[in-house]
Amino acid sequence: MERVKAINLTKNFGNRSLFGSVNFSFRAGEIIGISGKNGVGKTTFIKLLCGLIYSDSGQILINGIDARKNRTKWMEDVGTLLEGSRSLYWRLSALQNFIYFAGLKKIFGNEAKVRAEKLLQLFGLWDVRNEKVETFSFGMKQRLALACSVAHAPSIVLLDEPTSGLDTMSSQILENYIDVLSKENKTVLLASHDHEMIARISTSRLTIENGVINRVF
Amino acid sequence: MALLIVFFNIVWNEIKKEFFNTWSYRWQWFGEFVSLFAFFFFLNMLTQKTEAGVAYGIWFYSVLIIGDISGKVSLEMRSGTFEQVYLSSLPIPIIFLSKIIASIFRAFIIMITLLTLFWIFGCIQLSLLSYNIVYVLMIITPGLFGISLFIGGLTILLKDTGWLINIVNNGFLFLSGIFLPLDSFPYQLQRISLMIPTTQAINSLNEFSVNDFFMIMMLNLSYLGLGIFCFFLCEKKAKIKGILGHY
Repeated sequence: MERVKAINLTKNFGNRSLFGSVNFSFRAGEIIGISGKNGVGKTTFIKLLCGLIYSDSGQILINGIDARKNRTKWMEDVGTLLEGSRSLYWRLSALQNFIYFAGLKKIFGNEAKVRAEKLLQLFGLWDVRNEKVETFSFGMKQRLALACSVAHAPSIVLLDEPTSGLDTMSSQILENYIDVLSKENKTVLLASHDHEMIARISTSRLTIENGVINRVF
Repeated sequence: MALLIVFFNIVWNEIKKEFFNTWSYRWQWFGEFVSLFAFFFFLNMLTQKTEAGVAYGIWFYSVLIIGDISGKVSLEMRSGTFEQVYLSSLPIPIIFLSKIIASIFRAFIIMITLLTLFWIFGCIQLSLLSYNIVYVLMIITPGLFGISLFIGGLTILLKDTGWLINIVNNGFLFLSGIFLPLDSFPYQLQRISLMIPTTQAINSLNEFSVNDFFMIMMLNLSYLGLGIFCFFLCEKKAKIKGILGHY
């Protein structure tokens, strides 16, 4: 069964057609790299899949269920990283941020603390967990935002420009994590301008041009 | 039961976040609090009107609530965390309800502190700080949140609604009968004034009847209903336009 399936998905902004009746599907364990020039709709594509933007017509199925008809299941199955460093409360500590965002994903109390320890250690942030986010570097914020967005262990992970502005070490941590996700049979979609990284880690590539989506295996 | 536990957890998380955030801006809050207190204290000395202390406290409470949702929406859109709310697997109304409860909690603490200071400095009488005030605040709170949600919804679409909040807050200050008695207003202005939740609250402190109770309750619930409808309509429009998290 497809993890993500879109049927006749259409999105226009005013007179500008971004996607004209597109169809695609992604399976478990796939890492799909999304590339395209600025403004072709990479972020819109990600936001359509995570429900932050509504399509004009068409249907998105997440694990076989019509996403718009079951929002709770949709959000449980999807973890999204958007503009990582801006997705956090800078005046709160890393741990406070994690606990808060885990709560928004119905993970509370001890379970949230256990997941915080696991993920913050994985992303190299456990030692600075009690420090305020405003003191973090861009890369640290990006890693923390990613930890928060996957706190609920979603089966589909959407990443918008995850390595933008990151140093080599942070990029490497992120790439390693994407590899872990793939081994756990999760579906990962990442939109990026970093063609080398896409070529290195993705199992297939998706290009967006003039409202048409092409898949390259 | 499970949903109730989730709800309590999410409310607790919001209260903690509210506390941490307020604490990190404590000097800004302290400054605003002192200036508001001083403003009223000297005003009270000039007018010698003891009821004005409670009326002013109620108005201040309404300011905190009315600006709350739009303030949070605007702040979270600017900081980039607003979209995260919409990536939650919890129902969006539950999240906003928890934010509202956390805000009421904070607003109550601030207002009670303010009123206690007024009482200590002799600006208000103890009898006016009876259960009546809590009772009245509870009745008008849904209406204030209705207005807050209405402006919050517009903030999602228009992004900056500070001008509207200023108009509403100043309108409430001058039309609620805090400084001038209602019967000194022209007839049409009196009618408008009676539609304002704070006016009803201030009137009820002096004379309260069961009829008033139902009328105020209906008025406030209507504001709440309208506010919820407007907020979710604006949210849907923002999702279609693709501007939910934009600022």
